[in-house]
Amino acid sequence: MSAHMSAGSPAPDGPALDAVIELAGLSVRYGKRLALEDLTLSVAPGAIGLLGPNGAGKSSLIKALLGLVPTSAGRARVLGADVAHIGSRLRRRLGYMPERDAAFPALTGFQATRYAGLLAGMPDADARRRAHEVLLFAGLEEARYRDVGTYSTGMRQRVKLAQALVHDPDLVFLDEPTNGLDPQGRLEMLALIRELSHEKGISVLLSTHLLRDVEEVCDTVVVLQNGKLVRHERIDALARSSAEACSVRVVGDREAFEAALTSRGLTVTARKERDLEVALTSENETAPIFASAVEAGVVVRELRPIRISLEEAILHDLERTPD
Amino acid sequence: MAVYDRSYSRWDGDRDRPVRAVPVIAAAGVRKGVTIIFRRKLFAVMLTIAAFGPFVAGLLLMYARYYVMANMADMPIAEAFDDPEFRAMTTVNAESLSFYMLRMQSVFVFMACLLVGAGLVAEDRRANALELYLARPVTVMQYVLGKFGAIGFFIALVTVVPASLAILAQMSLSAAEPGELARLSELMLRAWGAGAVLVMVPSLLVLAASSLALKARNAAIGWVAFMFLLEGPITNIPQEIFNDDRFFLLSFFHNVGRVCDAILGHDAITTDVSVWQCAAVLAGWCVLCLMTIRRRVRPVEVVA
Repeated sequence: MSAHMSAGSPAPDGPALDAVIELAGLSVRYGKRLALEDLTLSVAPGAIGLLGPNGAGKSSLIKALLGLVPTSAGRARVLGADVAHIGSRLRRRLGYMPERDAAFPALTGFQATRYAGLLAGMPDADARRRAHEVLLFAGLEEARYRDVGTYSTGMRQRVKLAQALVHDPDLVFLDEPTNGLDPQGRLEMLALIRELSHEKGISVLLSTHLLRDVEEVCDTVVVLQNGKLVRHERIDALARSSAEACSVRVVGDREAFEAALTSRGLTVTARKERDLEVALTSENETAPIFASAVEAGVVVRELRPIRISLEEAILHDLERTPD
Repeated sequence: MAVYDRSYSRWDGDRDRPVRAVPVIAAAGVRKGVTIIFRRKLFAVMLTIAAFGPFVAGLLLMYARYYVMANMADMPIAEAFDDPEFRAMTTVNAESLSFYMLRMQSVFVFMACLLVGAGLVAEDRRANALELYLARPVTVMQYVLGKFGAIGFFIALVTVVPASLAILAQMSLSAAEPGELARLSELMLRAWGAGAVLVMVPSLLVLAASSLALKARNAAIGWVAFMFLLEGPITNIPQEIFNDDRFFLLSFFHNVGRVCDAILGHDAITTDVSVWQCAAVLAGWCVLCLMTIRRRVRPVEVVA
């Protein structure tokens, strides 16, 4: 299921990488609870969507990749370096925007962003200049001299993004960046993320439970559920593979027809009053449907192509994954 | 109207420059402490006068005595300046340093801990800032050292710094006497040693209290309550009832005083417990504080 983009991230201090994140049997355990279980994947540079329902292990994966929580088994490499021995050289190439409300207390937006730059090892003059630049980029021009404590939710998200970017990382982890944003704010945030990943060569790992955010911004999607990898694919490949389905109306024994479809590897994605929705194979071949009808002794009265959205495909994946 | 390029631009600076997290965090803590103290200007001015007034007055009297004895030795005013009590008051030695650093300035050490130290970790925990710190090239050790540097700065400012300046002033007046210079040089080293204890123990205690709370106010209340209990019901009252000096080993002020006096070379033994016992108890407190801080300063609160 692994997918790689052809172009590597233009890392300023190293050669282009084939994979920004590599996991080999990675597990994370909180006491008795297994948050991540045996994850193995290799993620190419670009915009990566990390999808999954609440509690799927998205934030745990990000924290494990940042070295903030210890791994209980397996190996993880970020930008080519092992996170078990994560050092300041790797950390200064990473940016992190946490999911929950987090801020350096009692500082203005500018002070907090400059401070984040200083903590990443930037000289003071550069940290000041970059703080202004990324705050402008994040759309906090007017509010940058106000205390972060007075910011609205949207502004707090923006200042967190600015802090994650001030030291110009090569890979940014964005944990639910559109949380709490109004529709306009969400679109603006997604536009900023798109600019970073598609125009500036910064790899972005976007963790969200909103598929539409991933669809709008990402090149690759990694789907987690209950700490397990459900899917890892390029968005366009995923869209292709899941695009086609048929609505089939038959006269006769529907249950026998369903069984025949299943035996041919076809999936019934929905059952309606009179119709069955059947996902087609990647070749969009309808012949197995007719063969199934012959086998079950039913008459096909109607065969109508329908499109399965990306969301439905992923929901279908999640439903199929055992708890 | 100004036109700004709002697009994202890459940074072409030196990415291999060493990260100096400790001074950055310490400087931020000091700035925040100054902001807290100067939030109420009148209070800040009064606090500054109270903290440094006696030191400045002592320094002026020291120079005045030197001037009078050097230039007006045959005038009547010289008698007053040559009075043994006045001379003792304006001479820098182990006894005067012990009095100044451990007794006179202890209230300002206490206030520095309350005003500045109590919020150093608590406020970061409340604002979820630990996650932001530790996702950057900052280790837990660097974070704690930075916070320690901030509170240590204020404690040193009211104890070690004036003491060192007083010794330097005395040195400048005794430049022609090699024996006196050697004594003062040794005293300077002793003052720094005592200052290290005086800075380290309260700083670690207040950082541990701060790491246990989510608000500066709660940390301050907890710290004061702990000190009150330790010095009163736990130490002095049992000591009075049982007349056993070993209870003093539980006293923070007693142990710090005994160890600092020993380092300063000031012979002021008033209890039956040894300096080594006091030092061992203080070391135990420090280890306990470090363990508490290590447990509480984590990027992620894991609830299994």
